[in-house]
Amino acid sequence: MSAPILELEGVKVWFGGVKAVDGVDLTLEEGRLYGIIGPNGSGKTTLINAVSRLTPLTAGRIRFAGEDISTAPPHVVARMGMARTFQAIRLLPTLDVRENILLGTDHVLDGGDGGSGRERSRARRKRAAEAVDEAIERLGLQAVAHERPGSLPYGTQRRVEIARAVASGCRLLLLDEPVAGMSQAERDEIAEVLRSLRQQGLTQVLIEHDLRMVLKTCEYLYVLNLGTNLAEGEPEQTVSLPSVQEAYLGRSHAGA
Amino acid sequence: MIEWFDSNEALIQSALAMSVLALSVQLALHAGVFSLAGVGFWAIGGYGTAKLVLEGWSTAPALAVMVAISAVIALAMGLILNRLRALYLAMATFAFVLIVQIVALNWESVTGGPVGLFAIPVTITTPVLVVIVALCALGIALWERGRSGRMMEALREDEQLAATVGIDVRRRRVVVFVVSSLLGTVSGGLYAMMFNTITPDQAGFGLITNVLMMIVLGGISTWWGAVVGAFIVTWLPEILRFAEDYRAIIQGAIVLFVVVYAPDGLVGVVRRAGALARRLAGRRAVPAEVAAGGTAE
Repeated sequence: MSAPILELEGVKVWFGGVKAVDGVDLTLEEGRLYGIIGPNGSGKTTLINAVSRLTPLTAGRIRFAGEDISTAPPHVVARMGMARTFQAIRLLPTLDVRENILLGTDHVLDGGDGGSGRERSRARRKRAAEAVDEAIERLGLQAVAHERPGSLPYGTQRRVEIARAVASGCRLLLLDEPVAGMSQAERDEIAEVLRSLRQQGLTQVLIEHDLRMVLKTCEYLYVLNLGTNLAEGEPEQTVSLPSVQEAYLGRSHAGA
Repeated sequence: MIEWFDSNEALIQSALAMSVLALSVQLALHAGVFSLAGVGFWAIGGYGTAKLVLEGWSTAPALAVMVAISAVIALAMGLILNRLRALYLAMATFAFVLIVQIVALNWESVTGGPVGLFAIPVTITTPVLVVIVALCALGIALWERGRSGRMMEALREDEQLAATVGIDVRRRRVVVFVVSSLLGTVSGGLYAMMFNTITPDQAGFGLITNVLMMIVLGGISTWWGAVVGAFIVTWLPEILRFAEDYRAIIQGAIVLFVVVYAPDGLVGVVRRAGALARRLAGRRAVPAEVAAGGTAE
């Protein structure tokens, strides 16, 4: 068993009276592919926002790569090797696809802004270009590398988002519903990409509604409900727990 | 050419000095920092440099000292105003411009009050001006491309995204604010040293309007839009001289037309023309390749 790369202890995020996340514990080991599922409003996205430091914690503690990041600003955890995608696509409309992916490497590779000196910056540029080319190839974006994202189909834009995170050379990748709005064929492709990244030892957290996707990719599953841990464990077993069925699949299960 | 230059030298000088101020605001807006503070620093740079030169300083050290003083003021302002965004920042910096103007009007012992400073020795020649403006433009051009260019796009379009790709948003916004302010200082200093007088009415609301007109007509997305815009706005009153009393109305109509039909100014028009030309050229090239037996990509 390897050392945990991400640990959450009693993490709470309240917005006024709304307890979006109300005491969540997670322990993520390096090199595995985790899934987080839960019904709408269970606090999945808020949790990811808290972990990537976009949202302040109300209480609790987050450790990433051995350091306490509970109050760290988002750019610091990004430079420590945490990358994420967003549920709503967030690409820069004025840059082409390749530049959008380059943005993911700009401030992260070689400690980003800390880099100085010609030799170092040339080496950094070369490494960035390689990382971007690899991400473009891995996500099948060669044909659109010089297009602006606005003109591309939705599924392609989502792949650019993932490529931007992958190119950053991160140690932990947080994916917030990466296949939302994609066709089944596209979903299968993304599942394949995530599995191949897993083969290379990249730790990933997949937030997903699509149970099929989760069962096909994830090795370990956390189920959230009402902002707290409901269940966790091996995916197939976990989703068949009665409590999970009731909370997550409640309506469709009752109707079946 | 030389004749034209001689008869238009004042306009050329004015446009060159103003293009640095246009760059100040263009840079800020490009990076999503809606700061008009550069206009206030234009007055600080203009008055300060002129005053020091009138006290017997040479121009270069006088301008350098004003840049240093401006840097301190801008840094303090930048840190304080950093929490403000968009319109709120615009309003705060607009207020700053008006405060500077009121100080200029009332601090008579230094600024000469409503009369302003005059008989400033003209110590900058046009070639020197060209070099300084070119250096400023080059600096901004380099900053607005590549990695730092992408950073500015991210700051403007999506600060949260910027932070999650490792950009220190707060710090970068302060840096942009300070550099934008210093360009204002340099522009004001150059202007005062070229035209031997500076008055409070040059440095207020009218100047803000003029600068915004420059970057709207030229185009906000790149440095050369600001420079081209500065030349257009400087020349417009000359070109529209025939319109006499209707000049301001026509000028307003032109701005309105550009905002509606060419929101990225002349830069946008040129880019679209370029894209169209490439597409037309591409369409003609394809049959040629097919005829030659080549395969189109």
